Amino acid sequence: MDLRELLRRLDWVLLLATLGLLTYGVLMVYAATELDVPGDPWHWAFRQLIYAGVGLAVMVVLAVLDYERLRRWQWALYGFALASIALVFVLGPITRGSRRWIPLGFFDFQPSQLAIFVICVAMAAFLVDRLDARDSWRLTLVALGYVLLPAALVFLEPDLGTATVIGVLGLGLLFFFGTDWKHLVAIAAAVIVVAVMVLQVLPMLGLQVLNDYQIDRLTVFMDKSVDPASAGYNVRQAMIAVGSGGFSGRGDLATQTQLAFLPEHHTDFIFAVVGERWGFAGAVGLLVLYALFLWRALRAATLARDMYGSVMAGGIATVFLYQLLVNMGMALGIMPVTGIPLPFLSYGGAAMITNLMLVGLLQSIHIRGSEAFAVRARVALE
Amino acid sequence: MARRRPRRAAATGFGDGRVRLLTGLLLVALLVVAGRATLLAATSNDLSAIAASQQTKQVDLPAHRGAILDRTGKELAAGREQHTVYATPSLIEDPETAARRLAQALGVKAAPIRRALQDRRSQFAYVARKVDPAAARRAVRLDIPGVGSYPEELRLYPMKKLAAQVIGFAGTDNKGLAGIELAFDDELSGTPGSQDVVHDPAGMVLSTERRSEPVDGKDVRLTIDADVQFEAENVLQATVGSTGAVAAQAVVMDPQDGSVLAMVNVPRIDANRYGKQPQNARNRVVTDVLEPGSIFKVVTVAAALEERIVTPETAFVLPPSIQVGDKEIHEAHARGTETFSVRRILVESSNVGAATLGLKLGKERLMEWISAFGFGRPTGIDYPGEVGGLVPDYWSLATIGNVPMGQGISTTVLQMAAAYATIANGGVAVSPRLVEQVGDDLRVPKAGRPVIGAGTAAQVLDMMHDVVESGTGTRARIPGYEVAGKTGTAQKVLVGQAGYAEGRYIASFVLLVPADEPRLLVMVVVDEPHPIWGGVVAAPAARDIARFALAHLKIAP
Repeated sequence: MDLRELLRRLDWVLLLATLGLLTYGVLMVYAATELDVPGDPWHWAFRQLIYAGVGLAVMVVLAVLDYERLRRWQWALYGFALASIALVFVLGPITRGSRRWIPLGFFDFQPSQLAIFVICVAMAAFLVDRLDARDSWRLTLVALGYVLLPAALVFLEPDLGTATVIGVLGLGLLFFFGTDWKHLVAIAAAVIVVAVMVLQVLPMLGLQVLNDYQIDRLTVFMDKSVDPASAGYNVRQAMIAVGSGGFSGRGDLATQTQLAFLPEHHTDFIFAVVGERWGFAGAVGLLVLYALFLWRALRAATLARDMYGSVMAGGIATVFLYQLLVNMGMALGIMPVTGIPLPFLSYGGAAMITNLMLVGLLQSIHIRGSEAFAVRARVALE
Repeated sequence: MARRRPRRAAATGFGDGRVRLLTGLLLVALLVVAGRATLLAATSNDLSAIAASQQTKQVDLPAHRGAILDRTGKELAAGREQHTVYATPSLIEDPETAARRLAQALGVKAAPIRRALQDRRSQFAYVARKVDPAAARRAVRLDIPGVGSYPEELRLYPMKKLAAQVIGFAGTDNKGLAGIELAFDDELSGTPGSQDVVHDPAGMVLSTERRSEPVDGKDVRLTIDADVQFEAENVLQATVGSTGAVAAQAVVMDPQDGSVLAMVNVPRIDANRYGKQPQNARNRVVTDVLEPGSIFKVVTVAAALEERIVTPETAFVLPPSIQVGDKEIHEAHARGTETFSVRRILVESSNVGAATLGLKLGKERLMEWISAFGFGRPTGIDYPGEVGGLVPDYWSLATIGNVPMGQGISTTVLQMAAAYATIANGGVAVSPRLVEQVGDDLRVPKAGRPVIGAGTAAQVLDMMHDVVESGTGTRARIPGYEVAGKTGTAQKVLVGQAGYAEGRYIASFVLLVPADEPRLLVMVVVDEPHPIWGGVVAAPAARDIARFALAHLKIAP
C-alpha cells in the first residue's frame, strides 16, 4: 500500500477529532496551570505538547503497521504487561501512598497505562483464537481471569481507577467478541454483588478491601454534604467551577480553577477548567468532539477487515467511553471520584501516549477495513 | 471506480446489534453529561457567587485614629502603627510546631498561640495583636500556610496616668469606650477604606484592589493644660497621702470662658491599663455627686443680695443655734449669741446665718436661684455620663434650713465650679468646656446668660476675698496675689440610707484669683481627710495648684 492510498483510507474524521481534543487539552492545561509555576506559564502545557507529539508519532507508526502483526506477539505482550506492572512494586517510588511509576530518568514509565493498550491487543487475539469456544462458560471464565490478573496487580499498586479501566476493557472485548448475553448478564450481576460486598457488607463485617479514602471517594457523589472539607471538596469545587462558567464561560476570569481552589485542576478535574473558562458552550463543544471520536471508533469496529480488528475497535471504544463518562461525571458530581483521567485532556504523558496508541490502532483497523472493502468492491465490479 | 464505502461489514463476530447498543449507550451518556452541565450552568449565578466569595475578601483599610491633644498640642492619646498576625488554623498541619515557631519569631509564649490554632475547622485566629512590625514580619516569613499580618493601630497614652479618667480609652479595636475617646469617637475614628483581596486557598494574597481610601480621624485638642494637670495631680496625690483621704478631685478652670485647664481624679489610673482599675476609672468630677456643704452658701448669699433682701453689711443677731422644723442647726465651732453681718456669715461660714438667710428668702425664691445657678441639670460639658445632681423635691420643715448651707442637695464638683465661675464672670453663667478644637474646627465658648448682676457678683467676690484674708480660708493666701475663696466641710451622706456618716467629711475649697477680676478658678474636694476641715486640707492644695498655674499661665496679679 503506497502512501497516497494510505492517506486516502485514513479515517480523517477520527484524526481531526483527535487533533481537536489534543488542542483542547493543551489549551486547558495551559489555562489551568498558567499560575502554577511562577515565571513559567508554559511549564505544564509545554510538557503536555511534547507528550502529544510523541504520542502522535507512535500513532502514525501503529496506523501504518498492519495490526495483524501484533497478533502473533500476544503472549509476549501479555507477559510484558504483567511483568512491567509487577516491576513497579520493586522499582517504583512511593508517591502519595502508591507505587505507579518506574522512573526512567527522562520519563516516568507508567506500566498500568501501557497495559491498557497491550491487553487490548493481546486479549482480543486470545479471544479471537478461541472463536469456537465462544459460547462456553469455560472460555468466558478463563477470559475473565486473563484480564483480572493484571487488573488485580494494578489495584494493588494501588490504582483503583486504572484497575477498573482494565476491567472494563476486558468486558468491552468480551462484548464485541460476541460472548453470550447470559454470560454478560452473569458478569454484570457479579460486578454488582462484588461492589456491594466491598463497599457495604464486608466493611461491616470488619474486612476492609478498600481503604477508607477509596470508599469515601466512591460514595461521596451520593451525598455531597458529607464533609465539604475532605472527600467532597474536590467535587464541590469542580461543580462550583463548572457552574460559575455559565453559558459562555468566564475566559480569563476563570479564577476558580486557576487559583488552585480546585485541586488536580490540570489532571483529573480538567473538565471543570473547560466548564469555567469556556462555559456550557465549551463543554458541549468538547462533548461533540468525543461523540465524533467514539462514533468513528464504533464505526471502525463495523468496518474492520476481520474479527480481530473489530473486537479491538469495540474494546477501544468501550474504554474511551468509560473513561470520559466517569471523569466528566466526577467533575459534575454524578459519578464517584476515582482518579480516572479525561482522555487527551488531562495532563499526563503515559495516558496521553497510550491513548494515541489506541487511536493508531483504530486508524490501522480503519485503513485495513477500508482496504478490504475496496478490494471486495473491485472484485464485485469485475 | 466506486468510492462509496459500504455500510455493512461482513467480518465482524457480532452483527450491528451490539454496536447500536453501545452507540445508544454513548448517546444517553452524553445527554446525561450535557444535561448535568446545563443544570450547573443554570445555577451559574449562585455558584459564581460562591466562587467569588471564597476567592475574594473585602477587607477594611483602617483609618488612622485622631490624637487627643492638650491645649498646647501635647499628645495625650496617639496611635502607633503596629501589626497584627493572624493564622488560618484549618491550613495548619501541625499546630504544635507552628505555635512554637510563631512564638519564637514573635518573642511571646507558645501556649496561647497553640490554643488559638487548635480548632482545625476555623478559618481565622489571632496569633498576636498589635505587635512590633519587625516581629510580625519575622512571623510571616516563616511561610506557614495561612499566616499573615495586617497593620493595626495601637492606641497609646504617652503621658500614662495624666488625665487618664478624662481621656478615657479606646479598646483593642480602636473604638472609643470611655471618656473623650467615647464622646468624640466618631470624629476620632475617621472612615475606614476598603479593598478587595483575591487570595488562593492557602490564603496567599494574589492581588488587591482598592475600592475606597480611608479618611483619617480628626485630632481632638482639649482645653486641658498638661502641665497644670500634672501639677494638680501631684498636689492632690500629696494631699491624699498626707491626710489619709480616700480620694480627691479638682477642677482648674478659666472662669471667663469655662475652659477646663485641669480635671483631676485621685487615685489615678494608667490610661494604658484602663480596664484594670474599674473602681477608679470614673471621672468623678462629672459623674459623681456629693453634698457640697458650706461652699454652697455663696448661692444663698448671692440670692439674698440679688433679691435686695440684704446688703453685705445687713446685720443679724444670731443665737448659738436655731431650730428649723425638727432640726436644730448649730455652728461648726460653738459660740454665744453674736451680731453677724451678711459678710461675716460668709467669711466665718455661719450655718445659723445661712439658714436665717434661707428662711428670709423662702422656698420658692431659693429654689429659683438654685436653678438659675445651674444646679439640678448637667452643665452640658462634652463628656459622657455627666449627671445633673439632685435638688430637693420633697421639702420637710427642716429643708429650708438645710439647703442654704449645702445640705439636702447634691451637686457634682463641676456644677459647683461652674456656679463659682458665674460669680467670677460678673454674674454671667459659664458653661464648662473640655474641647478646644476638633480637626480644623475651633469650638467657640458658649455665650452665657446673666444669672446675677455684676454688682452682686462683685460683692460676693469681695466677701470671698475676706474669707481668705481673715476668715476660714486664710491658708489659701498667695503672696503677691489677691485671692478669693470659700471653704466647705460637709458631712458625708450615708450610702443607701438616711442620715450622715459619723466622722466622715468632705473637705472642699474654691479659689478665685485675682480676687477683683478672677482669671483662674481652682476647686479642690478631698474625700474623708483628717483633719476634716476644708480650710485646713483643701485650701492649701488649691493654693499650691493656683500658684503653679498663675506662673505657668503668666497671669498677672
